[in-house]
Amino acid sequence: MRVPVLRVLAAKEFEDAARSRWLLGLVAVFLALGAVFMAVGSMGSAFGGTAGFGRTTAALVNLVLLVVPLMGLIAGALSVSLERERGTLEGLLTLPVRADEIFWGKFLGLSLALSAALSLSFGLLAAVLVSRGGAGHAGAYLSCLAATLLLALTCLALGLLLSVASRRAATALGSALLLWLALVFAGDLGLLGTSLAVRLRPEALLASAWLNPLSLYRLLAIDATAAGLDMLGPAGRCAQDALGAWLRPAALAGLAAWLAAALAASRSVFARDPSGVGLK
Amino acid sequence: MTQDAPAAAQHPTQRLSAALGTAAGVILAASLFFPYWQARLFAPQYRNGLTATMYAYKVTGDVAEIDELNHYIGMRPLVTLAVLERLAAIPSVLALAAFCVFAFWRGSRLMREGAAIAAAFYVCAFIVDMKFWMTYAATHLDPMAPLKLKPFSLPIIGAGKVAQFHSEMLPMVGFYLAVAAASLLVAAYRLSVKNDAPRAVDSTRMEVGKAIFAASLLILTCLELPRAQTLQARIDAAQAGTVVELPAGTYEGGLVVAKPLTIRGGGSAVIDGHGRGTLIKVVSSGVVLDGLVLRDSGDSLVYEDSAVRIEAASATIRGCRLENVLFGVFLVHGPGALIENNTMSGMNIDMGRRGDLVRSWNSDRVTLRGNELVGGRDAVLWFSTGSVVEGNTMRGGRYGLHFMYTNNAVVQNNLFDGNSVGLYVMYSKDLRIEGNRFENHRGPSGAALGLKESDRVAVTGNVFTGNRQAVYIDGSPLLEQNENTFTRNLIAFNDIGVAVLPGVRGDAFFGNAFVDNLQQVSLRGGGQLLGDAWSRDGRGNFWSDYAGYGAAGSAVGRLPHRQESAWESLMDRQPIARFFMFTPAAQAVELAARAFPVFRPKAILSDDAPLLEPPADLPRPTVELASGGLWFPIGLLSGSGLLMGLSRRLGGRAAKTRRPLAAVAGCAVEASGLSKSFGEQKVLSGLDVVIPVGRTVVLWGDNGAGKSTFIKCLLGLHRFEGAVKVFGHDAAAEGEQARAMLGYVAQEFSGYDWTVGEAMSFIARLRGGDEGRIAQTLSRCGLGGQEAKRIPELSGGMKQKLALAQALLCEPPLLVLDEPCASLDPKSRAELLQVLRGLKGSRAILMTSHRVEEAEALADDVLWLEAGRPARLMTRAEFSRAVGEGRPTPFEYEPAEKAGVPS
Repeated sequence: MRVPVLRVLAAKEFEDAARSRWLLGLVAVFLALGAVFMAVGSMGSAFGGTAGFGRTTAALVNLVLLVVPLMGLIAGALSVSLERERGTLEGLLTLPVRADEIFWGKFLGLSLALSAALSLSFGLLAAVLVSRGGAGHAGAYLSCLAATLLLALTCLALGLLLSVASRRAATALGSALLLWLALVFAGDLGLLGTSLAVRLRPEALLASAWLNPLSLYRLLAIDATAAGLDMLGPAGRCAQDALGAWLRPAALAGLAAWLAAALAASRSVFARDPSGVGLK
Repeated sequence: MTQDAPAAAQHPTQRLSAALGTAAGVILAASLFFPYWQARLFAPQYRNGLTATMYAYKVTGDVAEIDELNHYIGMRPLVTLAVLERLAAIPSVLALAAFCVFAFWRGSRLMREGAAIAAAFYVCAFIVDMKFWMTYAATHLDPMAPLKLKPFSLPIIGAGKVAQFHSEMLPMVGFYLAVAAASLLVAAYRLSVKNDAPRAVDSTRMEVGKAIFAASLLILTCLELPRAQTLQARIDAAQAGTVVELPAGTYEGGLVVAKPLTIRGGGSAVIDGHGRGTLIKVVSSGVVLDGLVLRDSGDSLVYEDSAVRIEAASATIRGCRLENVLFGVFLVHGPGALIENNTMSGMNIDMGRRGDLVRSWNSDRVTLRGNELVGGRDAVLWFSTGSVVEGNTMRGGRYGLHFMYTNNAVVQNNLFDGNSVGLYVMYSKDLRIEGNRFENHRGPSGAALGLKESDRVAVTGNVFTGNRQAVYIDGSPLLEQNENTFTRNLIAFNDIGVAVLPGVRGDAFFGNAFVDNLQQVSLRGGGQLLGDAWSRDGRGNFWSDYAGYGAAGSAVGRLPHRQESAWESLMDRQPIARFFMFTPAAQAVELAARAFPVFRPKAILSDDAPLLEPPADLPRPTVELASGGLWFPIGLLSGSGLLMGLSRRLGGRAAKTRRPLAAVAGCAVEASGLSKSFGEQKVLSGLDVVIPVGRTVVLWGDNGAGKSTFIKCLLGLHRFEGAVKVFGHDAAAEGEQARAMLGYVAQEFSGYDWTVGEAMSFIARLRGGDEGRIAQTLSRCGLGGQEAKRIPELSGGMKQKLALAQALLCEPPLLVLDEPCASLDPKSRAELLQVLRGLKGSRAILMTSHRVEEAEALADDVLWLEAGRPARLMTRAEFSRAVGEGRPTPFEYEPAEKAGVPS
């Protein structure tokens, strides 16, 4: 892989993402809702923003779980399929670049775009917090941002997988929305129902978190910002007892595994048929 | 006598050397009469310990008992160890002593040297031999022993532990004497070999001084050992009511104070229990322990090993430091005790094996004031009516403070931090809990303040932050009329503000602030809190999640605050559901319940007079809530800016600039045996063709004849059979090198939403071209001055010109055009053909077309393709003739040799 080519392609992806109405819209939604939560939360508390893992922080985690996966999935889903549909990917492939360089250039550029957008959003939200007298827990907030970035990259890789397997942007986008619904709502609701119906053991419930990158993010965010995972009931206490200090590395490793697996699968599919002529 | 033998009477130095050698011999011989080492063993059944005293030639003490214990773990009896050494000890030591005397009076220098070395060797050999036998005994255990232990190791100096046994080993007087003898012999030897010149006198004095100093040090060490044993004697001898001042130093624990004394340590007198039993037992009233350091009690919960055990009234423990103790202060029938300004730290062992740093049993009017208790189990007061607990810090324990049947007590201005439970009140009544801070009580049963079956408890002006449950109420009050009141408390940032068990009635909450608790009030098992008051005299509580409003100037909201959350109700009934907190799924459940009132749970509570602002007299939390500053968001925003800058900079750096490629010589395209099928349909079948540099070849044929397929194979967009090479580079295996040699114009331009300049710049950077050539190339293709124009605004013809400009930017030696004029109007087509005509001859051009006039205008040669038939390469004249006469059928094809270019 040639670094200069990768740089040019990554920069092009970054520029494209920066002009993407999808991404800009989601960032705007994230910012607006986040600012409202921060302002209202800290106003209600009258004692500062993130002083404890209160409703303000919980709302932020909730917002991240809703919006950030959508950002990553949509950015990834449109990245290849839209170019296939427009024919620009074929144009790229007629240039002296390798399919691998296009793939990694896309991932790198989009990763940078998402990271920049989320850093900007968290920065602006932090400004709201500071203006309300919060920001006493900067370390926890930064840890939360780091976990959010990892989640965004994982969802980006999952979106890429959907994208490289689709010839049409609408197909990829639809799949991404379905996956988002599954990860955000259906998975947790199903698991909640199952755990109540069959009285799932806390260990099993905890283990199920590794099946959903969003659950892993939630564990990481709560671990970083809250006093303890025991707030998550028996499964949270099980996490503390069984994993202790290993919880964070284990959750990070889980997210990293999701990211690596999604990237490996995406790259494999893309390398087999970059222009997507074999796809329906 | 040899020449270098000391003449004892010759010189004072030599005489001194001989005297020291003699003294050393005598001391060495005398060491036989004293014990060399002592081992003490403490077992639960031997609370006062067992002692084995080792002489050079025998072992005495509780040998039989120790052997009996050793038998259980399969260790050999002591008498069977080091038998030979003990037999040889007396003759060897006596012989060595005699040899020392002789060597320094009559012996040669070599003999004196030998005597000194032998004595030093004896000391070392004793230690090594003892370590060897101890290791041997501890690692050669009888496998048939009743108790199976893994081989172990015990230190030969200091404390050790095996299972529930403690050991303690120390050198004794005999050993110190042997060391002193060896030291004196070394000094004597050095004196004997010194020159007796006058200038050496000072040096000699120095040597003698050193030897005497070393010997004195050893003797003092010997004397220090029994000092601890004398403290009990001092206590026993002291007059009642007097003060026993302890000088700095370490004293043995296990003391009993049976008369009203004040024992002062000044902060530097250490009572050390060496991990055994209770350090001080007070059995007389009016005893004061002041400024002592009490360290290392035993660890037996059964024997209640404590730093101080008080079994009498009016004891005072003040300014003491209790370290690594199981129980700290243990009061049993010790009313009126005052425990103030002490620091107590428990043992670093499992919580279940720890003791209580303060335990008061049947001791009324106890006062705990200004103490710091860290890492114990509980501070527990049983049946201790009228006690006062104020200004203490309880940290890192199980129950910071635990009341059992303790009435009329006051708990005020304490800090409870990081315990499992801060203050747990059980079966008690008439308590005042005021001005305390409860922080970070976590864990399965984590609660800051717990009330169980307790009545008339007034909880006022406390701060509860960061706890799993701030207030936990179980069966309190026992009778509804014995109301517990909670006022002016700040309950903030906890997982659960108030957790109540079902059936609780008679608690009143008013004037409190419930701020940002994840769940403000929880009722275990669900239901409603019908018997508790949430407002009084028109004043309720401040709720940070109150969704009502108030009239102007009013302190109270117009609407009641009702806690009715489906999700919280579910969590109360099914704790496992807490795992899904903060998920959008939980929000969905909540939203669904609000949308469909049939699912809406009944409100747990209703505060009819919610406060719009927190009460002004509310205590403030101590945690730093408003720290941080602008650096925090500025840092994040800078990071974001950096990322953006970096990304733009990435694009700004071009790939390595390559020189224009048009002047490359050789064969431009060479296809051999090229076949391509789409499913069952064969499009190209064994195509062989060679296109030399500088020729323009038009691919001619009907739709589906394989023209575009051939080009896509050339570009590496299709997988195919056979081989296609572009300037010697295999299009399949060396795709990017092959594509680096060509520029491609598709039938229809597909570009990004960029300006013309951006599109050209992107190609230049990607291909390593010279961005300085962009303007010239655009002008050459008829797009001069159009750099700023956006691509979507370009006409079809202009887009194709842009595509051509992109293809030509790096001057590739091969230009590949796939029906470039197909979608253009006549004018645009003519313009584009004009540009292409200008390129003829400068490079190889491969172009597909359906139009005869295009082929005749541009082609040097024409490659005629037809589905299912062999291809034929012909000159333009042949092509013109063929199309003029109609399609030639059948094609003449020469499979034996490649279709060559006509000369």
